[in-house]
Amino acid sequence: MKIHHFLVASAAATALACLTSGAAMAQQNTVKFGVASVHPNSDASNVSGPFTPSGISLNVENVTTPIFGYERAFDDNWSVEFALGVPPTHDVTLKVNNTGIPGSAQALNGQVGARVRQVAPTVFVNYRFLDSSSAFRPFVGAGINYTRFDKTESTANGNTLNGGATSLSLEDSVGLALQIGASYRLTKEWSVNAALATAQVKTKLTTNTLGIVRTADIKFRPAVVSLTVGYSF
Amino acid sequence: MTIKHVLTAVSAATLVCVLTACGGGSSADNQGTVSASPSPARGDLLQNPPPRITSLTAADLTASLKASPTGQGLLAVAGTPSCGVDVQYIQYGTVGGADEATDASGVLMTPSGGASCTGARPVVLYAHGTTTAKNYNLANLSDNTNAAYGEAILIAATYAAQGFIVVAPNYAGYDSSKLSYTPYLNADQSAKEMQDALAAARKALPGLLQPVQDSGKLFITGYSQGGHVAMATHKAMQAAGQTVTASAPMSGPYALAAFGDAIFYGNVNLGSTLFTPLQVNSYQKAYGNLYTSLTDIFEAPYAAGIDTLLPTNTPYTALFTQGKLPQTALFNRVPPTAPAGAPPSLQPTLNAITPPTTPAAQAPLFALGFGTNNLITNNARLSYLLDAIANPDGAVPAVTTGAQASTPANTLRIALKKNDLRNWQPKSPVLLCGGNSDPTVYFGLNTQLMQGFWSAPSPAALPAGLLTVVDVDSSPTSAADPFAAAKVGFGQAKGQTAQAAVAAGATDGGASAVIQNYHGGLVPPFCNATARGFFQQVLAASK
Repeated sequence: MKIHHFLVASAAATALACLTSGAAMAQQNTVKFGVASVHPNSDASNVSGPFTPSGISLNVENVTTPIFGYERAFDDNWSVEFALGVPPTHDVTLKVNNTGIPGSAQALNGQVGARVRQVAPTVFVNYRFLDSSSAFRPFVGAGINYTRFDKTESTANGNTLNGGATSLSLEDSVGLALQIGASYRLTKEWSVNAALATAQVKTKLTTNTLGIVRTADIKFRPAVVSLTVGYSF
Repeated sequence: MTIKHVLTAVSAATLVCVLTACGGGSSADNQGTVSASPSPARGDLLQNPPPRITSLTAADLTASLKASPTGQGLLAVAGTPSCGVDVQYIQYGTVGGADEATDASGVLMTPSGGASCTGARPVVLYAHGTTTAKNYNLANLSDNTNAAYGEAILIAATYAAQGFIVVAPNYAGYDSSKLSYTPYLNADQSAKEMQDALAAARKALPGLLQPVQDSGKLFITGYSQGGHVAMATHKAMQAAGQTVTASAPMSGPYALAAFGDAIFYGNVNLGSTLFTPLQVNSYQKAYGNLYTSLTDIFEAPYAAGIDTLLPTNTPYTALFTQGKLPQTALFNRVPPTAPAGAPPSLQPTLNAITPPTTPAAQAPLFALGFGTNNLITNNARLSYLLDAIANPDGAVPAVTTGAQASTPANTLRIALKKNDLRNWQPKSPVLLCGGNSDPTVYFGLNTQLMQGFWSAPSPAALPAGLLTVVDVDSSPTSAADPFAAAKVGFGQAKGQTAQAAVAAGATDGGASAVIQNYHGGLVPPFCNATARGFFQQVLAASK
C-alpha cells in the first residue's frame, strides 16, 4: 500500500528529526506525553455469513491510553505533529438483538466478545492562533490517520456465540483526521496541551470460526480527548 | 541521563512500535486441524473441531417447539426435552456412487445438561428422506427457512433432547459436497457414507465446546430414502464385524426391485417424477449402463439436462411450472405397443396397467401417474416390463416366493436388484416402522415384504424376537401394546389433518389432504418416537 509506505517513511523522517534534534534550534521541537480517552463511537452492521442469525452486531468500547506526540514548528504559526498512543486495546461487546435465537445466546448481549488492539499513528498540520509570545495558544489541525488493528482475540463469550475458537481480523483504515486544541505555556520549556481529535475510520471485520467466515462493516466516528504535557527544546 | 535523552529514547521506542505494527502481526492460529485435500480419505473430519451452529438448552428447545403448531405437535409426540442440544456442522471425506473420493457434510447433535445428558451417550446414526433441495443441511438449525429445518428439529427433539448423540449426513451431492450428483438409493455408497459420517463424528466428540463421549451403543435409523440407507448401513456394518446395537428403518423402499416392478406395472407412487431422475442418474453414475442417450429413458421435452437437474435449489414446484419435470405423469397414458411376435395376451396386459384400475382404492392415485406429458418413454417402460414378465420378481405382480428375481436382464432392473435389501439377515434387533396406507413408499411391498422375507417359512427367517414391525396406522393390539401411544397419536393426527382440510373447504372428507401429508408429514414423528422408544427398550435390556 503506497499510503502505508508513505506513513512509515514519514514516521521514520520524524524520528530521524527527533534523533538529530540536538543540532536543531531551541524551541523548534516539542515532545508531548499524556493520556487520551478514546471514544470510538462505532457503528457496525449486522454480522453476516453462513449459519448466522440476523440481529447480531457489536460495539467497540471506550478506552483510555497513554499517548505521545512530537511536533516540529516551521514558524510561529505552522507546525507538523505526529501523534501516537500506546496502542489501546478495546473491549468489543456483543449486540444480540433477535428474540428468535436461543435464550443462552441472547444472554450474551452486552458481554465482551472480543478484544482488539489498534495502532493509529496520525500526522497533523497544525495552525496556532495568537502571538508566539502568548502563553495560551489555541490551534487547529488537519491530517491523515492510519489505523491498524494489530492484535485481536475472541473471548470465551465470543467463542460461545460464534460456535468455537474464533480468529478475527480487521482491515486497515486510512482517512482524514482533524483536531482542535489549545496549549498553555508554563515555562520556556514546559507546556500543557488539551485537544479533541477525530478521524474517518472504517474497517471490515472478518471472523473465522472453525472455517465459518463471517463479516461486518464497522464505521467509527472517534472522539479522542487528550491531555498532554509538552517539553520544547 | 538528561531529560532530553530520555525523551529521545521514548521517541525511538515509539518508532520501533510503529514499525512493528506496520510489519504485520498474524492472528493466532486457533482453527484446529483443517484438511484442504480435494480428495480426503473416507471418514476424515475436514474441520476438527467442527463449528457449533447453535446451542439450545432444554428450555430453549421447549420454547422454540411451543412457538409453532407443528412444534407443539412434535413436543406432544417426542416428549418434553430433558437435555439441551448442541448442533455441530461436520464435513467429512467419503465416496460417490462409483467409489470416487469426495466429501460431504452433515450434523452432529450432542446432548447437554443434566446427568442423563452428559458423559457416555449412545449414538443414533440417522439417514434423512429424499429431498430435491441441494442446500439441504440438517446442521442449519439457525435458519428455519432451510429445507432441512423440519427434519432437523424432529431428530433434535426426538433423539438428542432425550440423551442420544445424533449423527446425520446431508449426503454426498448436497450442501457443501463437491460431488456433482447424489448417489441416490445406492446401498453400497449409502452404507459407506453413513459409516464415514460416523467415523468423522467420533473424531469430533472430544473437541466440542461441550464434549460428550460415545458409549459404544450404536443405533441406526432413517426415514424413507433414509430407511433404505439405514438398513443398508446395518447390513454393511454387520458384514464388516462392527457393532450395531439395533436399527429401526422407517418407511423405506427396502425391496427396491419389487417396488420398481410395481411402479412399472403402473402402481405409480406419489413423488415418482422426482425420485426417478434421481435414481436413474445415480445408477448411471455407478454402473454406466442404464442408457447411452438420455432419450433412451426420458421423453425428449425433459431429457436434456435431466442428469444434472437434481438436486437443485430451485423448488420442485417451480421445476413443474417451468416444465422441467411433469408433476405426476411418470408414464404415457397411451399403453406401450406389444412388439411383433409377442403373445396375444401381452397387449391386453399392457392396456390393463395403463393405468391399473385395481385395487379400486388406489386406482385414483395410480391414475395420477399417467398423462400425455409423461416423463418415461413407452420404449423404456416396455423393455422393463418385458424383462419383468420374463424374469419376474417373487413379489410382483403377485407374491410367489417373495424373493428377488433370479436373473433380471434389463439394466435398470439389474441396478434395482443390486440395491434391493432382500439379501441379508440382521443379527441384532430391527424394528421396521411405517404406515400401511403410505402412497409414496408402499408399506406392503417394502415393510411387509421384508417381514415376510425374515419370517418362517422363508429360508431367511430370523430368530424370534429379533424383528418388530410397527404399523402406526393401526389400532393398538392390546392394552400392553408398547407402541399404543404412537398408533393412537397417529390416528388423532390423521383425523386433525382431515378435519382441517374439510374446514378449509375439502369435499372428500379430507382424504386427499391425508394422502398428500401421509408420507412426509404424518408418519415421521410417530415412527421416530417409536424408534426412540425401541432404542430405549434395547438399551434398558442391555444394562
